Amino acid sequence: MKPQDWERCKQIFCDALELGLEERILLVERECSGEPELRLQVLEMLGSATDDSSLLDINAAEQVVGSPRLAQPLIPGDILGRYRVLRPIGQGGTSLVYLAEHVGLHSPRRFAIKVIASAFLGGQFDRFDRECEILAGLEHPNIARIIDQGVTETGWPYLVMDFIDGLPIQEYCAAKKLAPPEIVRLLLDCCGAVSYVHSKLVVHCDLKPTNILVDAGGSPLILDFGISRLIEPDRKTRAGGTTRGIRPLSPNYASPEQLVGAPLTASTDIYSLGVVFYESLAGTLPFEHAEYPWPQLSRNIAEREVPPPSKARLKRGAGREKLAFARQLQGDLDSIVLKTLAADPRDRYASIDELSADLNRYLNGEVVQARRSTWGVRAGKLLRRRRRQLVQAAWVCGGIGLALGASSWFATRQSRDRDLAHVEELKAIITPLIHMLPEELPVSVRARTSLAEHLSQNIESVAPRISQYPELRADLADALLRNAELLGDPYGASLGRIEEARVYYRRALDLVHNTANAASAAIRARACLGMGDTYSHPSLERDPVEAANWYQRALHETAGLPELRASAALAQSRMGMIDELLGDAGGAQSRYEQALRLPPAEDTAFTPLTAAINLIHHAGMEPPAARRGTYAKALEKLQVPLRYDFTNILTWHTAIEAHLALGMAEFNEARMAEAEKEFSSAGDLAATLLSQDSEDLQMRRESAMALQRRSLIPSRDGRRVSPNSLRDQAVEALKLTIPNRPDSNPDAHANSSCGEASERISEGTSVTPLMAGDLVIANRGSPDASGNLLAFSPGSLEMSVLAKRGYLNQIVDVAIASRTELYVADRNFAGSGAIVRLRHEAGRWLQKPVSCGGLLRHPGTLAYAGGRLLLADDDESSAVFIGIDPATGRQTLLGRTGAPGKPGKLVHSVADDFLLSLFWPGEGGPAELVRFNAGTRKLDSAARFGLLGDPVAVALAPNGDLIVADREWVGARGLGSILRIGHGGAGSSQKLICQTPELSRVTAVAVASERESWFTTASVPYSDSPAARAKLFHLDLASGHASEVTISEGILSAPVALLRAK
Amino acid sequence: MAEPAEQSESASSQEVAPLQSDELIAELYMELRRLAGRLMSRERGATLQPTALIHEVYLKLCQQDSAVWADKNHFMAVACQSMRRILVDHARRRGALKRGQAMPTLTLDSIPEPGFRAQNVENIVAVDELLNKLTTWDARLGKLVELRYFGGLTTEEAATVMGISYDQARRDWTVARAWFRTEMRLSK
Repeated sequence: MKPQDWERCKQIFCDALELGLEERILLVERECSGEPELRLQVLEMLGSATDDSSLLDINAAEQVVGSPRLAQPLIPGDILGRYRVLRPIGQGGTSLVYLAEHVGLHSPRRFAIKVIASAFLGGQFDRFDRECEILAGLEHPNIARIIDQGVTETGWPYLVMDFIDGLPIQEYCAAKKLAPPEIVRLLLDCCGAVSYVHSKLVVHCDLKPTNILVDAGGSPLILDFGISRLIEPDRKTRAGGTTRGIRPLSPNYASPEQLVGAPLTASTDIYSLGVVFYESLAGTLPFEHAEYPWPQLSRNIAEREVPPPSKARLKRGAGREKLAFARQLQGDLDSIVLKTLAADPRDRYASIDELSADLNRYLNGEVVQARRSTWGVRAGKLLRRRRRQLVQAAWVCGGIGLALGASSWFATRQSRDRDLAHVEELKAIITPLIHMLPEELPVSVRARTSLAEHLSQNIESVAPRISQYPELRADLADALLRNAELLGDPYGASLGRIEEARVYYRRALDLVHNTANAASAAIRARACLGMGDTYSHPSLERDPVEAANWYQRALHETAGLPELRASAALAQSRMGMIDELLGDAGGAQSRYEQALRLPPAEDTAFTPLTAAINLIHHAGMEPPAARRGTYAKALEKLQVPLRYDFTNILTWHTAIEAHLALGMAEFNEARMAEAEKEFSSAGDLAATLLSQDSEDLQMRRESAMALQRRSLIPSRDGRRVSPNSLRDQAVEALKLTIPNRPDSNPDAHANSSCGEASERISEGTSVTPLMAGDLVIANRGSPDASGNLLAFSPGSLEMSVLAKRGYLNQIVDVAIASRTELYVADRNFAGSGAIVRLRHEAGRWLQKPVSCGGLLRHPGTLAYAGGRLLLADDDESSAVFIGIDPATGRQTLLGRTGAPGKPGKLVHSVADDFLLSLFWPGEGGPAELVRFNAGTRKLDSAARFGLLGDPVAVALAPNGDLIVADREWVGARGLGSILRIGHGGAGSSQKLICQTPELSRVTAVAVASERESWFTTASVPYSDSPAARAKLFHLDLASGHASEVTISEGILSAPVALLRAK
Repeated sequence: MAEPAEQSESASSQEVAPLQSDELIAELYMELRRLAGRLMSRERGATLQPTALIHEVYLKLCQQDSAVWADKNHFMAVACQSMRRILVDHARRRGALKRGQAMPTLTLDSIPEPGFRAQNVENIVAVDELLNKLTTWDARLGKLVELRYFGGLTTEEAATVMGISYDQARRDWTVARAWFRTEMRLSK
């Protein structure tokens, strides 16, 4: 700001302070037109002018020298005068409230004692004195009486009031399911009390449901006169007099004049009471404010639209009762309540008595005064609104309201000869939905939720008719995308409802799936990007493979369309991110290079916020080392929006994202202090918003992420602040963000996401470690029962349960590390794949997940060698090799098979070599055994064709031969086989050992010695023949003779793996 | 308002060069004492005693070689400036001791809550920094805030010291308060 501007700013500010609210705004708008910076400064200062907590109010010496005195909290049993403290029941900003009983009287009567808690602000004593003084002068059946007052032994003043064991009025109305006339009678009692207060020249200034309690007898009682004021009888106006605006206040109930710090009249109580009425009748607030109402208010104060209580009530759900209730509100009560809520005090009732009179008229069925005035006012507003066509969040709400009206209007029309009109009307519904800029989303979750509801409703009203008008398809798809993004775009400012978002993304895709024009391609690309994002964002359960598929599709859509290069670049950079995630730095690098090679999109950065978002996108394409500077630049850009645009949720999310990303960049360059600072900043921002709106799911995820990132720091830095408590907090925070799905286990998921799951004791009968030669059998488990691990001793023919339940769900394979350590591959651990370690210790088998989620999508088979695990994941069309470090849970993508085929069994052969059988190759493909080298990541074929038909399992014989269990021996329907594949010379030899119908259900095979082997077969679920249950066989490898081992019924349910302990 | 303790007076001026006149010194010293009495009605548990603060101010004033004051108002203005320096230094030291690192930025939340002693030192530092900014824009407002916030003068006294009307001082104070509040909010 220039010096001359500052002089003007002072002048305008001083002039404006002398004026009333309306004139004040007019003056500022007139004086500052064309000078937004000046205007904002003046408005900000006006908003601050009447705060009674300015930094400057306590002089510096007092702050340094004087220590603030805090009242000692009272403890149960303390005696204050004639009262005995029972327990604390509440806490205000500066006072503590206790429940107390009378010392002398043995009566059940209870009292509330309010003790001032801090004398540091000199004003507190005054305020307290004022409350006592005001209350002492009030005597009314609906006002909580002051009974006594005094000073504690340590010099703290207190006052004693009746304790009211009641409910806040709106909760009372809801709990008792009161009908509108009954609610009105309650409200009339309140009006009586407030009218009485006003007659004593007192303005309450803080009427809200928690200050209006309804006791067991059904009478409302008004309490807490802590910020009430005496009205100074005014010379200038005769209408009741004024007092200055007072903070603190309750934004949702404060009148507009109170919010902006204008002089107050008794009308402020009428407004606040109006909000309470509204809430009691409609069950929801008329209008929700963000914490700092100024910028929003200056825009909306004159034109905001409060839906009538009846509409609001209906919106909360249908049903016959609700409809009847809403109908009773419609008309008279709507008008009365809206009149109390007028922005301009002059449009409200002139006094509380006039309000009472109108309420009485309603009860008596007479004509209500309010009804006449409101419609004219509203019609005028609607007209003005339509003319302005401003794209604002507030406008969108209104616009959708209009559109909603339009849709229900023509829904009742049946004429078929007005196609053109229909198209126009459909457009009228869709267009406002599309033109809602994502840059303008309210902070409040409730506001955004209702926005999403509106969108959904309108979409559903239009969707069934859209098929007749293909020209509108792209528009509707666009609206679907908006809704998806509003619901669950994890990179944007969404409600965090990921699953619902996916539904809308898919619907948008379906709508334009075979339309060949650029607009449709753009929508498809955006939808695919959106889908990918719901699988790739670090705060969610990630599925990199799924995400990569979607990004690939997005890339495909953008191919050859230069106008979509921004989307293409984004898709490339996201693919790069996935590569990085999967440990493929080279792949990532080339992706980023490709992304950067795409010519940049036209500069669409109208605002610093969009500029910051573009920078963050851009940083995502840069090589990791270069990102720090770009993120820092984005944060710089965000300084302005954070100051002036804080009512926009996207500002916050973008800032948090930038802080987190910059923090990660610093972290990767081992600049720990800087990284921690960024993570903390992100956490602080999220905490600030969450303190206003704890319902914000996405904000909670981001908050958890900030914590989790911070918990990374100390371990690397060596400072070890308190990493465990940070991580615990992150775990707790993450848990809260996981939706309650029947198949998910939030506890386990959250824990494992943070690498911290507790070790559990397995349920089972075996208390000993494995013996050499024991067979370990894994039963897969079913939707009804979890899988288990069995140990079979060939010597004693005894079968015992090694482990069941706990973390075990749907077991697919097991790998033996030692006789006291096993690893289980499980498909359903909180909805993702997991590796669970089983460890024998002190007569117990303990289990703990060591790695989950991430690359583990559908674990297929697992092998252990030299302290490391190799997993083949089943990717439908191929097998994906993933290396897993059991100590850290770290997953590394090592490679994948090219040919189609599901992974059967993976076994370790020598050094880094592993062998994998591939079965079910699909149409025409060959069954195959492949050799994969985990060191060089080279893949080659070990055996194909020949006798191989459907090789589900393989085991290594001592001499290096492979024993293969083949479910369907080639060419022989209904017959399975056991094969031996030898290696020698150039090729491999295949030899049939045995073939039986039983083997067509073979599931696993293990080799005990050169001569001996075992295999398991699956039961046939649809047969009740005893012969069809799951079985274990002993096989003589030389003779090919197989004999069933008799084991107790039911234990072997669905064997999927068989291994021999060495 | 409690009067400050009487006893520590004797140690006041041991190493101080004489000023223009003993009467003036006596008068000014009494002025400071009065100031201290008003500033610090509560001294329990304080780390900087009010008399100690006044002594520090006094010594600082006397150390200035050109310690010549036109009149009482001039003296008060300079005294308030000294107090600002001492208090801010004190606050910074305490803040640094407590944290072993740089000052965190002040947040709005820290202002109105009771029991916010840890923030006091930050408040003072924050006001000092904002005051520097304000002074570059508007020297008169800056002076007023210094007198009132750091010197503890009333509006009336500050107006007298600055030679402006009471009404002017009151208007200026309203502007300054609103400006500070705005800056605090925006600095969040």
